[in-house]
Amino acid sequence: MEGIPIKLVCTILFLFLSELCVAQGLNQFLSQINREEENPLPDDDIISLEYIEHIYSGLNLKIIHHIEGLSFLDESDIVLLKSYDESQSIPLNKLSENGELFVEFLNTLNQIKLPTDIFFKQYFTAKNDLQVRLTGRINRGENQFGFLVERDPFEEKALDQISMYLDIKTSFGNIVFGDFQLNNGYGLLLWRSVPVKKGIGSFSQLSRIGKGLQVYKSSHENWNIRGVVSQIHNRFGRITISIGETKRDGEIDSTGQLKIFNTGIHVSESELVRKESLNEKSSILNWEKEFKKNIFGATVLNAQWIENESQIRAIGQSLYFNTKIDIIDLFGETAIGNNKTQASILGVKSSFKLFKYLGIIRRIEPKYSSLRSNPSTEWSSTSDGENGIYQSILFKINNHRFSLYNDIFKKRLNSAPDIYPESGFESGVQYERRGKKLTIRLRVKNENKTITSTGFLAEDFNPNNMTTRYQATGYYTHSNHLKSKLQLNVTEVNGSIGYGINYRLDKQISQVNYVFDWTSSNVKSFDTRIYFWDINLPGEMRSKMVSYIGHNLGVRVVYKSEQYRLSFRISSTWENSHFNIRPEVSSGLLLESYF
Amino acid sequence: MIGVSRIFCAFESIPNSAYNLALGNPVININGYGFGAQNDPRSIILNKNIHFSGTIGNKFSVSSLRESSWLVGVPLQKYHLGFGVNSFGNQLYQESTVSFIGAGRLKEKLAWGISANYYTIFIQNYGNASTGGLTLSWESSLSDNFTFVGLITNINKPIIGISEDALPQIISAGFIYQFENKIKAYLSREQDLVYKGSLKFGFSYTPTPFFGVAIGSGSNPGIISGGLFLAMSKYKIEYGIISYENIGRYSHKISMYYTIPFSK
Repeated sequence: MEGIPIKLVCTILFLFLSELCVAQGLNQFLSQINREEENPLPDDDIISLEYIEHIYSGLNLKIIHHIEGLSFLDESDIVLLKSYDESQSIPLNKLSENGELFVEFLNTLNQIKLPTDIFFKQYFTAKNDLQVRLTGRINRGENQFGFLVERDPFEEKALDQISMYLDIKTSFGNIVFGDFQLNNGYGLLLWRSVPVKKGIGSFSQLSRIGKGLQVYKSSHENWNIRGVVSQIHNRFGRITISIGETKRDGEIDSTGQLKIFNTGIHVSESELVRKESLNEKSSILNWEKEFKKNIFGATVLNAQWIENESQIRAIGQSLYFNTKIDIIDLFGETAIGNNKTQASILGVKSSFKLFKYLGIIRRIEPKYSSLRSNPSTEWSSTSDGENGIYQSILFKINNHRFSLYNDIFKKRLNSAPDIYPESGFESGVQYERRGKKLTIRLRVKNENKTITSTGFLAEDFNPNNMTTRYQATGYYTHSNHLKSKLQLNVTEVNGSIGYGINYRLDKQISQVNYVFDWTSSNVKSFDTRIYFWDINLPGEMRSKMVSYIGHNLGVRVVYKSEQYRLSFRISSTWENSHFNIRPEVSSGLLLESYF
Repeated sequence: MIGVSRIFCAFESIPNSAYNLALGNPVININGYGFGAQNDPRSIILNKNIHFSGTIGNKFSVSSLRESSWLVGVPLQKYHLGFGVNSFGNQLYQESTVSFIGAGRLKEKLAWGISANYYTIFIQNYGNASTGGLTLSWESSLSDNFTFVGLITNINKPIIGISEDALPQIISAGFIYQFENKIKAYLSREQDLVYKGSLKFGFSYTPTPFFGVAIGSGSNPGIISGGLFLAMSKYKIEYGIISYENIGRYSHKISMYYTIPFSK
């Protein structure tokens, strides 16, 4: 197998020398979206984007409903797209950066679609072992049935995860039986499986309010709520009521603490022991009301986790709001989670003609957690809390865009007066110039953290802890059918430097899209690791972490017909500057069928 | 001196037809005949008439490792039903399987099949043990010539006996190419969850409806196979032979089919 990529690369290069020909839709959009490689889009967004790509026939209500759920768009983008009049074109300059790319993506889609009501996706990948994921959706009128089954590498069950839902539309709203998720407020009580990560490109997401009930389409094995939920719209607002009983991986330890493991991997003995060993019972009530330009909401939930004879019970409450005063948006959420711990966020966003500003203050108590809490924080562990201030500014002058952000944070520990908690900051700046043929993106990001210590002198910034990442990316459109990307990444830590270069060529010939990808790197330590986007099948958004001296070559081929799309990728990694070692091969096959 | 080891051997033999054996012994049932529908239940829809099939063979040319399987398939408008029995072994050790098979189509382009299998092991002087397994397979028609087939055997991860041995769980995906009923070729990847994955491919040529030849090969373990068939009216007889690189021995199989005329 290891000889195959080189031959494929030669074949692809040959094909690029032939007649150039239309571009690429979703893959192109995902490769250009303003997003850090460590922070891919949540799979809810990717699934919605695929669905939009599949059913798009203009900006109708169904499409708008899916667009509203896309977390990378700004609220103002959605307002603009909702008010879109077919007689006029959408003013790109009024959209956010990602909004502009998204509309460009919509414009590449063929609006003439065959009527289809069955969508079946079969996904097989292999690296050291086989991974399988099958998903399907069947539409009957306004109702939808969906399923997902999955097996991760080395898992001993052929169908390790099985997830299903039935979504029924009624005159007053909708009812979902099976797996669902609720995204309410700003993530303190109920959110999707991935928190909004701070960073460049997070401006729009951090200020987005949750969109309420969603059927569960994600392959994340530990985030769904299984039960029944109803969402009702009436003159009192939007009311959501749910009852769930969900098996989760976890345990109640000997001290009575609840531990939940979200990896979804069931290979080792301990992972198999804790698999679905917790029985989680939940009931949730959410109310949200929109008054002209203001949104107010409240959630109460009751949760119980049972493992054999042990059980833990918790109540969660949250109040959230978003209010608009002229060009200023004020928003926030305050919540009480498990063990009466508290968390709150307060944000302000303003949109001036040339620039936008976002500031968010967060206060999370130690051990704060709730049923599906996933706020945007520096530390993912729930044992310590944190305080932090995030600020971001976006400038836009013609084709030139500047983004700056800064986040200052400090851990909150339980009473221990002689301990100085960890603290730190991260900041980043990005310049982007978008031209017709050439788009350039330059990015610098800094991060510095102290470590927890008991000494008075310990809480100083050790300059050796400073991590600086530099990134320069150029996207070049040779023609509608041939595009390329060149990226240089450098990480500097403790005076040592890791760097790498990536080149990607994307060509369309008739119904076939070819992508060739090459990466070479010189990274000598894990600390100076760098990240690139990996070569992905449609619907994947994986990045590759590079911490070696070596090379990676990859090829992807996608064939699209009216009723199916067949995609194949293969890549080889040589963790050596020479090619005279056995490479690690990764491959994947995806078949998407529409009936 | 006492030694203890775990045995992964029960129901490892793929109950295929002789012609499928000749094509490289894939778990995907390429032509739809024979007891291969136990592992690839959607394949039963490939037969438009009521049909009977029987296969006999000796594993590794060892006369006491005798395989035999029998199946009847019945098309019922949009759906197909099947019933079959399979046995492998000798007087001291014997595996047998009873299968109920159901299959159908969704909008012409998507076919599905499910088999409910009841597995029994008999070991002389030790007694017997039984368990049940569910197997799922499906196909997507990509064009007039190309078909994609996927399958997962024993999706419920059945275990058997007091030692709780797991039965094989195999995941396979493959493409089948067919040209005017004369040429058939496939490429598939199979993965028994306990072993390394294998790549298999095969090719068959049918110059007349009465005669055809097939060859196949595969990796992990390395195999080479071949065979032929002769057809007369509603009867068909197949022969297949497969050699195993690591063992250096051959397995032979003979299959027979009878299709009831006018039963469509």
